[in-house]
Amino acid sequence: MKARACSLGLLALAALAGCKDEPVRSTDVSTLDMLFSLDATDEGNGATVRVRISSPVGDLRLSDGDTLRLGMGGEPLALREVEEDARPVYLAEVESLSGDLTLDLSRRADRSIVGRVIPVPPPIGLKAEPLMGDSPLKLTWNAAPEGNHVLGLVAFGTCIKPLSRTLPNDVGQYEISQAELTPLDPAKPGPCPLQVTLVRTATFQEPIAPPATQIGLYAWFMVSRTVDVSWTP
Amino acid sequence: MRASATENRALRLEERRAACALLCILAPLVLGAASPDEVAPAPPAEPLPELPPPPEPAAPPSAPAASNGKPKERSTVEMARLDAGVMYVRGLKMLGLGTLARYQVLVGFIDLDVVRFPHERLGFEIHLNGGPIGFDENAQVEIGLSGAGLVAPLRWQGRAPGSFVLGVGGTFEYGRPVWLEPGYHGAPFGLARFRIFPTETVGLQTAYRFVPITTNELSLQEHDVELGVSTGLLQLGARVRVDEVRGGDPVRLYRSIGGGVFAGLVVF
Repeated sequence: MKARACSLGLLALAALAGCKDEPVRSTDVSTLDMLFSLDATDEGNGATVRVRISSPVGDLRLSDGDTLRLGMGGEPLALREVEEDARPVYLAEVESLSGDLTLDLSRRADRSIVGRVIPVPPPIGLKAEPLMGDSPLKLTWNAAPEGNHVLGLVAFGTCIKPLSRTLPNDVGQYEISQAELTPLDPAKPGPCPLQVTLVRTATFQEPIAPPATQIGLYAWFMVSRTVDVSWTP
Repeated sequence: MRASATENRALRLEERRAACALLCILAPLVLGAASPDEVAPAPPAEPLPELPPPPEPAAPPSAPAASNGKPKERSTVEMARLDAGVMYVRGLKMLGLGTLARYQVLVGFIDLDVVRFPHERLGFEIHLNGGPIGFDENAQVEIGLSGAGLVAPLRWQGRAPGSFVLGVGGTFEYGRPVWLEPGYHGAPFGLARFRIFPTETVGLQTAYRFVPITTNELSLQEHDVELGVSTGLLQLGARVRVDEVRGGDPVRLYRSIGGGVFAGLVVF
């Protein structure tokens, strides 16, 4: 009798547990209601692409045959699912962001997204000439004047105050005079080794597919390169 | 025979007093012909000089009419009712363009029904209902107003009098299904109602109402089932509600199921 009572109790508990709200499954969410948040960073020592999918009912995990694929330059990227802040994130690690990304979501019972192209800022290819004498700091990189991105420049050095500015035009070259390199300690001016970083930041947002009008695809890119610059009197 | 007629008249007067308590609320709506039940066995209009002493006062309406040994006459088709209740609704709602979301809510309601049969087989009814959707600071309101024409294909007397009534009409609703935005719509509906008095004091009534609604984007079907047990003026019952909505992208079925109880005053 006791065993039967225990069994019934366990069944009752299981039934009660079954009454709890289930976690969000991707099959419960319309493709048109999904928000794909993609962020990609490339700092020169490897690039990372993260995709998180959220919905009106919360972050979701792809399930029941729903499959996400990413490609870059025509080559598929290896995606793996990881947990970040208790949320599922689909992660790809590559050498660099060398081309536009393509996103595919195949679904059996809903709209699929096929070959959605997400433009990626072009590689930077930053170069800097050594600082000598009174010469300015000359920087050159791959120009992208048509790109819809923000270009930022940061210069570090042990003897200068960090210099940070946004460049208005991505024309592939820029000069910083030595006068702009403010000594950190006026008593101990340069020279000292410098590090210059150029960052392209871009965002992209569009509805995921018609007839959706809300933003369903949001991408954020940060491509940066850092070079060491020698500085001799 | 005359003594019996007088008793009947006294009982009828008592019953009418009780009915007036509810019917006077909707007097403008129910003005019109009296029912066949009321006019058929009309008491004699001539004076009754040799009437015996008046009978004992009739029992209160809520007391069993059988206490004086005479069956209380109740309409098998008509009704005036005021009731209130609460219902627990749980199911799936649509978010965005087609996302399933689970929800549950407690719904309160007050109903007012008037059913009249000016003719033996033909009648009409008016129904009003309203109440809160949820009992917190985010509560919404559910309102309904409907009217229908009725026909009674089956209506019988005897030891267990009863009826089977069918009807069609139109309804205006706001707030149903409880998640739909905007939740107001007008629609036709159909109903079926079965009533029987198995004893002289107990009445049973069950009803089903079906509301089909089609909009440009969604297809709605509302099903209501009610079962009530009455004795005297008191009616207790249970209701089940099923709302089904098809639509969205992808097309899905969003089904809500509700169940609850009600209590009210009723005059048949």
